[in-house]
Amino acid sequence: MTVRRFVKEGEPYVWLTFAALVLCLLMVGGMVALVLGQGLATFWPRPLVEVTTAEGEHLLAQRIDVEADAEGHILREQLRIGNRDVYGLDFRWVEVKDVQFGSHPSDVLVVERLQWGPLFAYVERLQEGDKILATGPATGRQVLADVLPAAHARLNEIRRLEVAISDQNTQLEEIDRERKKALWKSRGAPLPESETLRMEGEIVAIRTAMDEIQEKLTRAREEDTHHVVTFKLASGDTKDLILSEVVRADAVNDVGPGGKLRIYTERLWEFLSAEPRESNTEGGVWPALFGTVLMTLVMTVFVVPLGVLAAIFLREYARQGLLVSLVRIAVNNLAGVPSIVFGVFGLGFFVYTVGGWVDNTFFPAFLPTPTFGTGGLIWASATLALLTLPVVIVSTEEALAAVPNSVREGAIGCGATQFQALWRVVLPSAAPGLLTGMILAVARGAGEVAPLMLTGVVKLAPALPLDGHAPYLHLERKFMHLGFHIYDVGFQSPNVEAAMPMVYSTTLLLLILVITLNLTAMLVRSWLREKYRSATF
Amino acid sequence: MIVVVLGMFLFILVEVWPLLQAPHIGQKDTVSSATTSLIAGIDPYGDSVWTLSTEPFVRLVDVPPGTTRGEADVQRGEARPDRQLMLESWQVEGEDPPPAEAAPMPIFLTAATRQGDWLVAGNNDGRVWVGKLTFEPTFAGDVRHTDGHMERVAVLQLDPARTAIKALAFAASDEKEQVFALTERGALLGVTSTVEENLLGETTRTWAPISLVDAPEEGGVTLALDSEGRHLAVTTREELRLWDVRAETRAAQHLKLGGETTSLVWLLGGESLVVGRRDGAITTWMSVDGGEKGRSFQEVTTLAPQAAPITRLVAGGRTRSFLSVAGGTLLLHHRTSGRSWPLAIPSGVVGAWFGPREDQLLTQTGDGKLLLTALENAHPEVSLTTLFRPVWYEGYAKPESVWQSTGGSDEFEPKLSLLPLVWGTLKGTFYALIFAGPLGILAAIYTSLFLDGTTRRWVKPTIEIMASLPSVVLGFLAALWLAPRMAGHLPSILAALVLIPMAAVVAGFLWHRLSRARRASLPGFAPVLWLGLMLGLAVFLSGPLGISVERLFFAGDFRQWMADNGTVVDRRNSLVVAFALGFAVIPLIYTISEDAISAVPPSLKSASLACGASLWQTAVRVMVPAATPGILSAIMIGFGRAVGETMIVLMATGNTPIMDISLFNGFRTLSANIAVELPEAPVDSSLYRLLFLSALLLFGLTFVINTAAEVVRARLRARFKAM
Repeated sequence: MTVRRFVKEGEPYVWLTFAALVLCLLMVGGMVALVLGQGLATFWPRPLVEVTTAEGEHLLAQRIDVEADAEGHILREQLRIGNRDVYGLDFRWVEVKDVQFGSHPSDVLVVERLQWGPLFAYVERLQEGDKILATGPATGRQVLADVLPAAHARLNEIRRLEVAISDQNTQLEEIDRERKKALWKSRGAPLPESETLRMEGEIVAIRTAMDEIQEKLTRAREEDTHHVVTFKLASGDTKDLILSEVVRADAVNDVGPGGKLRIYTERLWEFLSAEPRESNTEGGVWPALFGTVLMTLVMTVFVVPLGVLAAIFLREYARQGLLVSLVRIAVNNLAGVPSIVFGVFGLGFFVYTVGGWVDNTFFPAFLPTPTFGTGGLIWASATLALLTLPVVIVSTEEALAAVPNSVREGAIGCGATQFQALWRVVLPSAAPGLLTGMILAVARGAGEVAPLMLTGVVKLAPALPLDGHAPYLHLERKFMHLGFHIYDVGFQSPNVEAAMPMVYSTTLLLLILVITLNLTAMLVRSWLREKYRSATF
Repeated sequence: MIVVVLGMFLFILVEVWPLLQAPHIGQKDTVSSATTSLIAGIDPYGDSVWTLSTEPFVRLVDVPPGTTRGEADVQRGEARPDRQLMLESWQVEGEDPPPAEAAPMPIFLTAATRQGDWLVAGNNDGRVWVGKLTFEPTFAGDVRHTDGHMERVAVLQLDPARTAIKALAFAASDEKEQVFALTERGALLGVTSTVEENLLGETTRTWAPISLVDAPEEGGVTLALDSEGRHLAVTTREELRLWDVRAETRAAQHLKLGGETTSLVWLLGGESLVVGRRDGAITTWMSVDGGEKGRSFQEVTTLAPQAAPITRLVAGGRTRSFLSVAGGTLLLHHRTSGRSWPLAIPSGVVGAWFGPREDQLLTQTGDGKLLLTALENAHPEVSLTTLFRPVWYEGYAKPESVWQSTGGSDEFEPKLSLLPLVWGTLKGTFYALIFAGPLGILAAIYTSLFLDGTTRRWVKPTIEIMASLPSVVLGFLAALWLAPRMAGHLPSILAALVLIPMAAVVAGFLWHRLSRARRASLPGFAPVLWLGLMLGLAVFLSGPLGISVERLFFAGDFRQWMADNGTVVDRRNSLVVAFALGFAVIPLIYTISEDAISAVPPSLKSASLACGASLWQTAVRVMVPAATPGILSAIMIGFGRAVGETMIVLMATGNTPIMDISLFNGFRTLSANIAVELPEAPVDSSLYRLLFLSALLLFGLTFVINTAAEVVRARLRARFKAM
């Protein structure tokens, strides 16, 4: 083919349009690959290397990133030096010419601890009271691995006791709420003496129990402080830690691929199942994951019945006329309204108006502290339910429309009423379509953040919205959310650089959630289409 | 559904509505009648009214019983008899008491002023009484009474010549108090105190005169001192003199006035001066930054002129509202919005005073009747003009559209112009569409007209997945991954813009050089792979090419070069947003355009091909024109999505509300502004309602656009059906 003919037939333009398509695909692929790569790499243990700077400073570091000039010569290198309490910063850019990289010592540990980010150091000494359990890096790390489970058990016991105390506190608050309620009912008149006595008795009982637990707690804490591990930094300085502050310690230079995989899995599990630490930049995202799932579930409870009923009415009962086309325009428009507008509406209507009314009607005793009159799970779910309503309506309608009319006519021909035909024949056939709508709504709801920021999401919720205290599901509580977690940790956290791996992992988690839901919906939908293509008479 | 949409719209509208309401008078209470007061006021609790006339005592009058404003569970008690709080002892310190036998000339008060708790009164003997009037409530159950206390601080013989004090101005701070007065003749006199505190916490004051350069010795008409005690303004018949009292030199600025002044007042914050004239004009003055010429005090606005002389001006203590009395009628004005509203008060007003929170108004008519009214004045600073036209804010060189809703202090003047936000919204949308429009439409053309069926079956879901990606993820990647990389490689990106289309054409040409048989033997996705490779190569090559370009034309550092040429390249700039926002919009545009093109009846395509047109000619001359309305609606829907997108712009722009077309700096959109400010906005404040108005704008805009797009698509569908 000659250039002339190539141009004359307009092929260059065709290839330009082709390029546009491939670019779009590359962008999607590139983005997913980027998040996948960065998010999965977070938990993979990186080796530690000895570094000597021009000033003669000795460091232990993980090599993170490089910066090259135009010719590809590496000029600067980014090192993670950890030990934020000592150096002030987790990361450092160094000029390559100024530093010398040494060996990968096998005894060096990456120590994750409750505060101050990771510590890169050797074990110097392990103590229990005055008894020295081990000294030196080699034996030290073996023994450390042996005693860590016991330390964690002690920490868990302390945590359990703390929870027990907060439970008792909750009971005290319950009594206080009861008293306030009674006072409000009696319009300020003093309560009958029997009541007061009963309450005081209960309070005394709770306080006694609390004192006991408190004593146990003090003893447990005291016992815990006897177990101390001393680390030696690359500079030769030492650093004492109470053993239970060590979350995990891995000799990253001395593990094979299998060991690395084990570390990786354990850290991944911690990420999914643990509470966040250090203002969300370390630890896990369990509360955010839980909040996201619970919020979308509550949203589904709101939106599915409403959306399905509306769709059934539109498709099966309403006479197609001006009203129905108006409704369709309304649905389409609702789908196009920016999510932040829903947030504004949710704040003004649900939180302040409905929530304020609920407070005035049912919880007047606790005012001016709002119960429902402030952002919370229920209002966030209701707002997102409005937002996802069009998704449910449209896909339900689509599913109902896909059921061939002959099926309805057949049912009615057999003597069924319209409702019976709908209930027994049409709906079961359309069920996968309803499911698609639900899944799509959940996928949309799980990814929205802007409306939540106005209606009840917080960076750190003190308690999960679901717990062991009646009424178990606390719809008025504020909650955490993966999407908001990304925004908060990536943009509001004091140490963004150190938090970035966590943000990538959270992003990956959210992405997996949303993409899986969407793929499922697509598969169900295509399966549905196949089914009816063959079922058409 | 209609109910939901209408309900949302109406609810938001109801929240916005009070913004547009003019200030008006609420419930009225006649309190009492008294002789004409020099000054009067309402106590901080709204339980009593105090007045000071020519006699040396403050009269305290209880407001009739009823429910108090703002506090649901408190009642005002029964009105008690009026009380008198004496301005005790007019004896000047260190001066002999007047001999008892000297014929006492009748002494009466001639001027008074109040600032904070301070009450200052002057008499016809040239003396000034300085003291404090404070209030304290007492409760009996839910019933509240409020009582006043008068405390004398000092009496000063301000005018040694013992002529009457005509006008007074006072300012107090922690360290000192200042008193300025105009005498009968119009001479300006000033005294300042120094407060010293000893170890026991007792304070002693010493008073000394202040000398001001060019202080008029006669002919002064009015004076005003701002509450901080910084600026003193005095008018004579033909000019305004202005002193910075705290400056060492205390030199006067002489400013020409357009007419004879009758009244003068500083507004809250001490930046704006309001001048009332005999010819009924009200003008506002303030210090304006004239660039190289330095700051100068200028007349900036003229408010609605009145028919009669402006006899009194009263500044509010909470906003930049002020009252004017002219010919017995009372008007409320606001400096920022430059608006004036008549208030429904019986005519014959001689005096008017704001309540402590500007939600009450005390007026006195010529016959001495005092009227206490509620004042609904929640949003005087907002009008259509202030929202969408430039406004001359305090401290600015010229009228500008600015969004700055909160400042460091209570005296901050809120700058609530929606224009920069609307601008930012449209700017972001525009750039995003420039990026996403061509890409989405071209990709749709290829998919619907040239792509084989198998590949299409997985291409479309992939793009649908792209649509479902949470915007918070896009925003995060744009801001923290893309922005830092883009900032250092701007020329490379420009190079890529050129290289990528070139690579596409070259790839196409090379592909067509393959023999037909060879091409047929390759799997269906091979062209995608091939082109992907070539594009990857182009992107890879654009890196070094960009660096070379940077060396050759931009002295090795593009950002530096731009900065030297007067454009600062922000890290989070419009380019980043265009990319991220475009990413979010592409799938929408793609899907709808693809649907539109695919829906063109295939008979058209067959006819065109049969006539000998090439595939591309068929596409451009036949298929795409037929689908144009559909593609247009795709762009409209993309626009609707981009306009309201929040998280991406919130994260990927610097959120600076500036109006600038430049690709290299950030902006703030309506949606991001809502997300940033609404959680902090006090319920029912002007800011809160304005954010609801922003939401209403977004709602309306997307509603109109989506409806239009829907109508276009419906018509197109009908047309294709008819074919």
